[in-house]
Amino acid sequence: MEVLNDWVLFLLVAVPLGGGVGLMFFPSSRPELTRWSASIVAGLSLLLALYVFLGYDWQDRETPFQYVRQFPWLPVLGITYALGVDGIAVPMVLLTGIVFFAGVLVSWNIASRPKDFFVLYCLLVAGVFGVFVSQDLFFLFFFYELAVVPMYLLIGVWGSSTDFRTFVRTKEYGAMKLVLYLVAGSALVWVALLAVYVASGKGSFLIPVLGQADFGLGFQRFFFPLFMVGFGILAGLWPFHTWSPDGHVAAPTGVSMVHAGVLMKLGAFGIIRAMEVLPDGAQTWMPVLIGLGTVNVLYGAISAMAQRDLKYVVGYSSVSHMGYVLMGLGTLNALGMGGAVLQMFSHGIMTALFFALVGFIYDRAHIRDIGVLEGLSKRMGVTGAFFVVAGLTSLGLPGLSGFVAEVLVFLGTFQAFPVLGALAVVGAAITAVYILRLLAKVFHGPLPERWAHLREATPLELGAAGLLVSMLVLVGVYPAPFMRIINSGIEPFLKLVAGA
Amino acid sequence: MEWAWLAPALNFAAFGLIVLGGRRLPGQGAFLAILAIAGAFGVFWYALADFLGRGTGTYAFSVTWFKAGNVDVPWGMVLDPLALVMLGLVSFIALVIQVYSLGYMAGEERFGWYFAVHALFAGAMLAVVLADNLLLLYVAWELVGLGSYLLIGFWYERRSAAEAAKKAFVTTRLGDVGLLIGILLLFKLTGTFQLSGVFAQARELSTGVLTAATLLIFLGAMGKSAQFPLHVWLPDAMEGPTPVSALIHAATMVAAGVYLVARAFPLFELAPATLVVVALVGLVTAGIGATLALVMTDLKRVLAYSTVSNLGLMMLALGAGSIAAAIFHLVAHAFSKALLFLGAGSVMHGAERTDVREMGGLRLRMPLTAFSFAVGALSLAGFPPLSGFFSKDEVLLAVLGKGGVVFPAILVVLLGIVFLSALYLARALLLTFWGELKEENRHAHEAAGVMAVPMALLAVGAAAVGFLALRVGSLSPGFGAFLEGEGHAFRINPALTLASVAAALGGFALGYAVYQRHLFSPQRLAQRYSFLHRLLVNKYYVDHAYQWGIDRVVLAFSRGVALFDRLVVNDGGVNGTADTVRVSGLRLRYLQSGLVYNYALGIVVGVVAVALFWWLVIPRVL
Repeated sequence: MEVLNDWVLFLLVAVPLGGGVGLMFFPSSRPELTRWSASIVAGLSLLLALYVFLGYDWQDRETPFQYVRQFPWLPVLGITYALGVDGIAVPMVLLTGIVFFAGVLVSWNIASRPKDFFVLYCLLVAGVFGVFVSQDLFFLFFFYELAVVPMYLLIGVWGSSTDFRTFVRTKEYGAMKLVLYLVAGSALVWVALLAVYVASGKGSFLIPVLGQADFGLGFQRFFFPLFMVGFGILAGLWPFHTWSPDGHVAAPTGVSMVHAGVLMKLGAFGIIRAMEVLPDGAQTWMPVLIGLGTVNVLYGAISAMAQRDLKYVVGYSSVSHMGYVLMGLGTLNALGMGGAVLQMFSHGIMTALFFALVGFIYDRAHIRDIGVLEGLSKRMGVTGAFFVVAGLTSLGLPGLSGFVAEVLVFLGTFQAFPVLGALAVVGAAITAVYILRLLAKVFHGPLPERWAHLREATPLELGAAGLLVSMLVLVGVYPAPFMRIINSGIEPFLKLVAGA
Repeated sequence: MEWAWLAPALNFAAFGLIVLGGRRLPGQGAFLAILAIAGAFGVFWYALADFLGRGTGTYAFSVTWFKAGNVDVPWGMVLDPLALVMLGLVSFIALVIQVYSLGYMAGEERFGWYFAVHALFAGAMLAVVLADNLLLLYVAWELVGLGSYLLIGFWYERRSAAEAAKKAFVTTRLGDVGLLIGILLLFKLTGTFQLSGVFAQARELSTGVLTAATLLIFLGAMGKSAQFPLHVWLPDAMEGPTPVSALIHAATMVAAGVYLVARAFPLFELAPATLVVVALVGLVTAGIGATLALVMTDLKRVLAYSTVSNLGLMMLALGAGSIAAAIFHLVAHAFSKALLFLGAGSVMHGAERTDVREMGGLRLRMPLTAFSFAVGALSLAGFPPLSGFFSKDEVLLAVLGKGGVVFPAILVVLLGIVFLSALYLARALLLTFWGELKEENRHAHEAAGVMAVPMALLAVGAAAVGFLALRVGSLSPGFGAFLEGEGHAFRINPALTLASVAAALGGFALGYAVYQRHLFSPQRLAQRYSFLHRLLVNKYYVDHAYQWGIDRVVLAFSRGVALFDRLVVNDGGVNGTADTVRVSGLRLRYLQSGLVYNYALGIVVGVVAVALFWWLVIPRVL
């Protein structure tokens, strides 16, 4: 076990990366083989992630970063391949493992070029794991970029274009916009990163080392917003969010799941790490982050209400729910931060579930228009029931994970900004309106002749979705194990950032 | 009684087992739900014996659900007289209704699911009742909402059921926004969710803050307890199976709001302005419900508006400061209304009709149903000595006792409502069961035993629970004294009692004259005052106003925002930036002509410009 403790994080990145590279050498004529290999890679990653989650010692407050391992990579510049996870990263690792595994199962029947799809899918996830386990800003940034590139191909090649009558969204447009947006964000981050590296004078990219450096207040105030906006773009920060709904509409199911489920969390995670490096800058800019987060919540929810395409509804609801994360981060108190991190986990699972279910419907009905779909529960009962669970999580029903996360964000925000906290509660009510309208329209009511031929999703698909559903229920009913770990990450973080 | 938590826990467990076990369980698992609720009823008796044995006092326990930072989020139960009364009421009514459902729902495709959600619903309501802290109360409160959503939408293949379920959930959620903000506010002020902790610190808070917090909490109560203007979901909720209506209208769901105000009364007491609001909202609701019940033609709708009216009376009693009167009326109403709905369900089952105009004379075919319906109606109308008589009198006394300027005026209106209640109940009773048996109803038949026994049990309750108000030597101190202490024993004001009985008898007599003896025609009245009739038939246009607001304001606004997002933020901001770059590139590429003399010209112009800048601009600026 000692050995595994030393290497688990290394493996967490190496398994999907190696798996992706290895898959390239498989014959394209044997899709069955690639599918099985990809699911083995995903299953292995999930086991490793579970190991990290279950083995993390939340009582050990002295060493918040565990499973630490450092490999000097470019000592001249102080770049180290430094791995380690704290209580904030651990839930993210588990999230990625779960969504990866479910995503591979849902993508089982990809018809066109399955080998290439799974190669890119593995590389994408390797990048995501890399960000969550990096303790070195340079590698964090490197993995962050690594995740973006496969995204472009996955959407551009396997995506779908949609004609909305008044406007058209092609997959090329969605893919290009996503990449340009994320690269623009990276440019901001890159500038800030180099500035921090130079100004620290420590000759190191290690986050704990940089966190000790003495930056001037002016420096922090100037450079923190670059991190905040640069990473914020990926988290769907208003008004830089439009890549996200359009990206979802274009992306294939498995990619949407990773995109909304995990990729958007990278942005929020990046902001957290930047706060550790520039705490005073964070203090200054937090009211802005809370304010924009509130706009996210309300604007996303109101926009979602007007959408007719299922993916747009879920896409805008992601914008809205990521707003709770941003608000929670902006509170800089234990309640709000804890809620934000739990919301990252909860929303990741929930939105992956949403997109999986939308995919099941789209595969069978070849349409996602709410105005046309009706009474589907009669034919797709389990899919409908799972959609209800996802919807109820989304509107913050107690007993499901979203409630615990959101109520903590409300509590945290209410301590500092009561009016914004109240608005966030209103946002949850708007969510109830559009989710319940959608459920009543699409799944309930009489089944029209047109959809009488639909069949329930396959057992494999339902198994993948069921895994996600069980996580939502587990966290909702028994959040204590998650909150223990998250608290153990938040506590030292707040000591560092807020001096609490 | 440390085991009180078993009451909700058993029901949640039954829900989980039936959902997981599915159709593999014998009888689709209905027996599990019934065992669970029977267990809860057993817990009630055990707790009651324990409570009386140990004398008065409050028992509580608490465990940590999870921790965030240094804040413990607890799950705890408290057992005081108020919780005890509700525990007994909820578990008994739910038990009776579940047994009745065995017969009513027989042959349903999703029979097991029905009982699973029933268990969830009852468990959630029991958790609301027993919760010792605001956050757990909110959790359970929302689960009650979920239960109602799933049960009202039980026949989700019907468009109307799906819409009604949605309407109930959305409407009550609007109120819950207030409740949650109120809880957040109280937590910010006191640093605790614990009810006892909040009450202890309440005296130190300013009246303004307390008024805000209590008004917000009351908003939540308005949603669940169907107070104007959030009452619109309740009449539509009859889209669910009839036993569900009985449950919603009697013991769970609508009772939650009244209970919440009673539970948080130490806060309301300190905010007199809120109490006036509570009383006025209650009065308006009572009036609206009573008038609308007069013109509805669907039997279940008549009963639904009657519930709205009676919930208004309970809130009015709370606004007048009497928990005992409100809760006593809640109990008496619960028995009567559950009975009336089960009777209506029996009629739907036996005669397959819901429109009172198509019925008549059914007592000849369904005597037991007719008898028990009559008991429920007469009790609710306030006929002595049935239970509604006692409880209505308590409400009137509470209002009279409040004094001041507002409350005596309310009393007059209240007597009018008593009159109307008797009138609409007489109408429902006589049109359905008396008069001629129509030819097409000859096939109607009495309910089977499994449905009849619950009705008989409830009829006994509806007739007799009123006597609980009285002190019986050393055996029972009387309901009010048990709930609120010695000062609240049963009283009677002969003049007021006389007035209320006269109002009830008058209403019933008028109903008899119109609907049995046909002394004059209600249609003629409706024609003469057609404006008023239209207003009532259209339910004061409240639903229309909501629909208009949703279509013309909410949806229009959201479409506007969505369009703004696509046209301004995306097409303008994002694509605009991209286009600017592209167009600049297209234009600027002409500079890269590849012709040397073009570049040379550029160099010359540049040099001259720099030189001019150097010589002319810089000296003047510096």
